[in-house]
Amino acid sequence: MKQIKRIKLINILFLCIVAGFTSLQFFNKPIEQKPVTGHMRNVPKQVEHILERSCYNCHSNEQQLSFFDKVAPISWTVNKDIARAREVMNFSEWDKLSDAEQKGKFYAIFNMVNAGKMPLPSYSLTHPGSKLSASEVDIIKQYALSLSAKDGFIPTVAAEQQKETRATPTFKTAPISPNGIAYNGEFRNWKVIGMSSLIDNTIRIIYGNDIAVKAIEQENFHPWPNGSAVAKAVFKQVRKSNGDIIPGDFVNMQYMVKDGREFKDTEGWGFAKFNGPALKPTGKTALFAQQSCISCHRQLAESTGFLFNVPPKVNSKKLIEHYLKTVQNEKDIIYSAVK
Amino acid sequence: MKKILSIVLLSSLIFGSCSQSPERETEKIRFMFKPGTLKFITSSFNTDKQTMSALYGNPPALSLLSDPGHPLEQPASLKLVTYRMQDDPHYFGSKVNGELILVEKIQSRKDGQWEYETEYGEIPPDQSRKQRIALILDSQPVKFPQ
Ligand code: HEC
Ligand code: HEC
Repeated sequence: MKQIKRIKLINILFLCIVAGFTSLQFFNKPIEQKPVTGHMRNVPKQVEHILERSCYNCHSNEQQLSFFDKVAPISWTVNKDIARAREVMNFSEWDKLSDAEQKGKFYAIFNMVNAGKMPLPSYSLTHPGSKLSASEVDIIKQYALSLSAKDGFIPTVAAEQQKETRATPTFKTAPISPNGIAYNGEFRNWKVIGMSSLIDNTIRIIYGNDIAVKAIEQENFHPWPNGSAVAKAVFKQVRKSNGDIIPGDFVNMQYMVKDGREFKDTEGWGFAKFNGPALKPTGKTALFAQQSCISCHRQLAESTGFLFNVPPKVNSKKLIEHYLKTVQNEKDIIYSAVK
Repeated sequence: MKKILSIVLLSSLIFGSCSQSPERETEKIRFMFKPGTLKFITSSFNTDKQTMSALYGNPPALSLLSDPGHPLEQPASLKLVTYRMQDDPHYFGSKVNGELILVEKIQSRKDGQWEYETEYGEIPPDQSRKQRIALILDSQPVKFPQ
């Protein structure tokens, strides 16, 4: 008698689960179907195959999902990932990017796979076939390098000076990014926290305000204190006759401003970018930062609170301390001489 | 007993200090140059030498570099800070300033000559002070819009 009761209970439970599971499927919205407008062109077949196998299920309009991925509740996560992945990069709409953007994205692709961030670890766990082998990562790297090998040309100073077309626009009010961050000329009084040069033939200067500088000194990036602000000025490269490469024409100004409450979707950082001499803001709506800024910073600069240009730990503490002491002594001597 | 104790004490002292000092010798830190009253003027890098530099100066130095014909009314002071260029630890394809290797300082004198001094590191053996001064003075401030 007891036995039968138990079996009945199990049956009911099973039916409930099946019913629940089936009803979940009514809340299973299929992913939005979008047309293919244009793929990457002139890519080696090997590279194409890797991307198709490992990335297309998220970053394209040509998903080949397994039955497993289409069943709720798994499909919810999968669909969310796909929507987010397509928002930042879509291999089926590659033609919408300019040549420079395509190259920049490919460097991002290499960096993501090299750091093991893509395909998303949660995905490769359930789709082991999507993982890239070391030799496949190298194939991606070689292709990325070949993209920049073609544009080694850097104009010389003389040619640059003859042009002398540096426009100096005037604006009455500072340009404002769609998320409310205004262009701030104050950065010139901030400290230079780093310099960098990218494969794309630009040279960059990175400034930090007092709060950001103090955060770096105190290794306090998790999270960065509210009010930290970093500005990056990007210039074209110009070559001097002695081989030195210096900043030429101004390209753009980029900001990251920390406000944990205001910028929740972008790790507490507000992004802004102002382009060309007219300082035209990037983005039509405030969503631009989610769509075109945060991914790289979130995935690749997490260890330093999503900011790349924190000075690397490469200086000998002993030598630097000695140096700072001698400079300080000198100042003291000068000071006492003045007195 | 006393002997053993002193040996133990002595050896622990030696080992203690030994195990500490190598760490202190090799400890690596982040470094940001503090220019004091000087302002950032421009940056440069050199792929052959694998170096990256930042130039700082006071207002008279800034005026002089913006317009070399500018008469020097106040003493000009400049510092050229040079680092080894290295790969960005987070991002392949980007190069950043790494280890500090040289800080040079020049100051104008009343007679129109420049005083030269290294605050940190040594100048490359194939270059003279004169060449270094000329290099520093052959710089133009970065131009921002507005
Ligand atoms: C499971 C879905 C999924 C797969 C598979 C996947 N990605 Fe992503 N990818 C994402 C998501 C989600 C983001 C946004 C991450 C974020 O904002 O932190 C992203 C972001 C990126 C970005 C940043 C783009 C930008 O400019 O901001 C790159 C590059 C990228 N993925 C490359 C790849 C490559 C290459 C592969 C294949 C080797 C791949 N992804 C596979 C989901 C995926
Ligand atoms: C493809 C990856 C990628 C994307 C997308 C990206 N960044 Fe960055 N960003 C970097 C890297 C790498 C650096 C460090 C190298 C350098 O100095 O340029 C950086 C540096 C910065 C810095 C200087 C502070 C720091 O983190 O070092 C700012 C400010 C910045 N980015 C703003 C933006 C803005 C605004 C956007 C969106 C319009 C954006 N970034 C999109 C990769 C990216």
